[in-house]
Amino acid sequence: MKSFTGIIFKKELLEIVRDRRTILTTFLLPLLLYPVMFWFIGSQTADQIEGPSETVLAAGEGAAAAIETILRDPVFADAGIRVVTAADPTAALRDGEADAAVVSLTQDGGFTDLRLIYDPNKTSSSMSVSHISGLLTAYNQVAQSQKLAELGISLSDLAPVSFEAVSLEIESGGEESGAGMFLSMMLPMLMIMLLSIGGMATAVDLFAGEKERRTFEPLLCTGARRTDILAGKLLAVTVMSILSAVASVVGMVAGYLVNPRAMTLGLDDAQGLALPLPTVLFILLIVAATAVFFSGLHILLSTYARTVKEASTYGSFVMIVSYVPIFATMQMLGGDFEQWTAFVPVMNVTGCLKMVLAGIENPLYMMITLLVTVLFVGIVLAAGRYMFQKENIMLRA
Amino acid sequence: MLTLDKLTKHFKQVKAVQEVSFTVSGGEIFGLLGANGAGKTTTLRLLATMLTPTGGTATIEGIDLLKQPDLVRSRIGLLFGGDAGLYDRLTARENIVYFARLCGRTEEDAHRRAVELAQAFNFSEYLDMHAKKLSKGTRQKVALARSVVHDPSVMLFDEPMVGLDVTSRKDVEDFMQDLKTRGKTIILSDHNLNITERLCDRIGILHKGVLTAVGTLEQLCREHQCSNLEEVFFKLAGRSEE
Repeated sequence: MKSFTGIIFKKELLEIVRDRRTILTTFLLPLLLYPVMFWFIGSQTADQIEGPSETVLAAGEGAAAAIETILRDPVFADAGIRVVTAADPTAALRDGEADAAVVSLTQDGGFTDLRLIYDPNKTSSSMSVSHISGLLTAYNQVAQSQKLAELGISLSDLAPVSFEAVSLEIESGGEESGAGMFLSMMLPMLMIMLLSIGGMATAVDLFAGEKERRTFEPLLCTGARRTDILAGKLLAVTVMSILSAVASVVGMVAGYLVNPRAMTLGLDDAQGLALPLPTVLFILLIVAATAVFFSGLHILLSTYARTVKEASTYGSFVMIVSYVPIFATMQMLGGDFEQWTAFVPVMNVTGCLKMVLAGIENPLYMMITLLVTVLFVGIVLAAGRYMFQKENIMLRA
Repeated sequence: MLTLDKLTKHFKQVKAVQEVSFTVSGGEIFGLLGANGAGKTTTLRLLATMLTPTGGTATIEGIDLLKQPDLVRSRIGLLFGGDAGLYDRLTARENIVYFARLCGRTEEDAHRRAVELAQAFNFSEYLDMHAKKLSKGTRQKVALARSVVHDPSVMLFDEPMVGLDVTSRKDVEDFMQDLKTRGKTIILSDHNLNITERLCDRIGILHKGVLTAVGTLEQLCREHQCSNLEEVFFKLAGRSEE
């Protein structure tokens, strides 16, 4: 590092550390965002998988007694269904006093005809009715089996095809990677979004901010060459972008420590986090290259801008454009990425991260991604260097 | 000594500075007058190597700014008026030390210069205060200190007194007189004709990028048959948009 570059770099870091807004958006936001968001999403999805801990069923007086009789069957043991008697079961459901309501129940001999209503706008109500429906299906199957056994008929006589869907991972002796799927959908998206934001505030401040505050002109008159100034500032923006990504990772780990199940969809606690060392190293490499790419992009636009406001507008544009490939591939899993996507910046990084998290090995894709990212970093830096030599851009005001 | 030799700058179709030539000696204050857009700031930016001339050149102590811009920058001090252009989140000391370091001074030397200059400009008690908390006058003093931290032989002042109160203006004037006494070469660009009259040994009048006259106040008044600088200015530079 040339001495002037080092002096500029240290001064920029000192200024950044003293800027509360930058510290807030770069460090505190990802540090707090991940634990809160993952805890919230994770606990909700875990509830969906495990089912509700208690389902309140409202019913009229006669219907309540009939349902209580059915619920004594062993199928419903530990099902957590509580029946409450209500003069108007529908009103009880509407008022939130019950998760589902029995609006009619008729019995003819051993046959019971039940009409349940639920509120589709409430997750707890929808989940409860699924829970009850599943239990009643099991109850019916037990009854059917008993009757068929009495008649000497096997279930296979009535259902000639039986099938079971098994994932490739299970078949290969591995474990179900539900949590990995969840992580591979969320993590790349969040990581790239935060990388694209991470260095923005710093870049805007260090380039357009200097122009606006008129500190650029005295700086250009010092012994430091423009390439020294650019290099010192680029280092500062990149460090901030990487630190922002590190803060994101720390935030995720903090989220895991707060509630391990929240990050893994309520499945196995450690699933999705047990990444091998080469994978971790690859993620760090690709994250660093992407951080430099976004830093360079923000520097480019901030150098071109006359004011902080103008630079922020350009920065928002970068973020929106970078979100297109992120959201376009949000539903895609690691195995869905075709080889040509390795040539599309940002999308290829998303693809790599998803593959890595899904345990898919595709060295060619990853190598192309790295080369393409480095190529774009080079293009962005060359453009930044070119702009720094253009006096009509540097002295725009 | 500073010599401009047919210095020219065009921005596409706009001829901002056209073949401007003059010389300023050590211990001399040269006033550059002109209406807005006359080319004063562009001339100073060319001398500070922020802009590259379209034609002609300039030398500072015999060093050509086209051939050795880095060396030229090490001999030049630049002070802008209006906002002092300080880093608000740095202290006065850190602002001065930063520029001293970028002008090639060692860390130790830069800190020593900061203390010396703070004493010279009478703002020692504010040395460790963040620039954003300083008064406008003190900010300008810090900017003055920063501009001479590397002891330049040529000083360029671009409207240095804009927005300053009477006391702060006096400080800047005294500073310029002190530099003159110490043999520094000074160019002052300012709209204030009284200040130019009072401080400058010679005056050059720019009009639409062309240097229309150069001389002492007496020479200009005699040559153009005027009684004061204001009359000379309006005669040569004209009223706005004339």
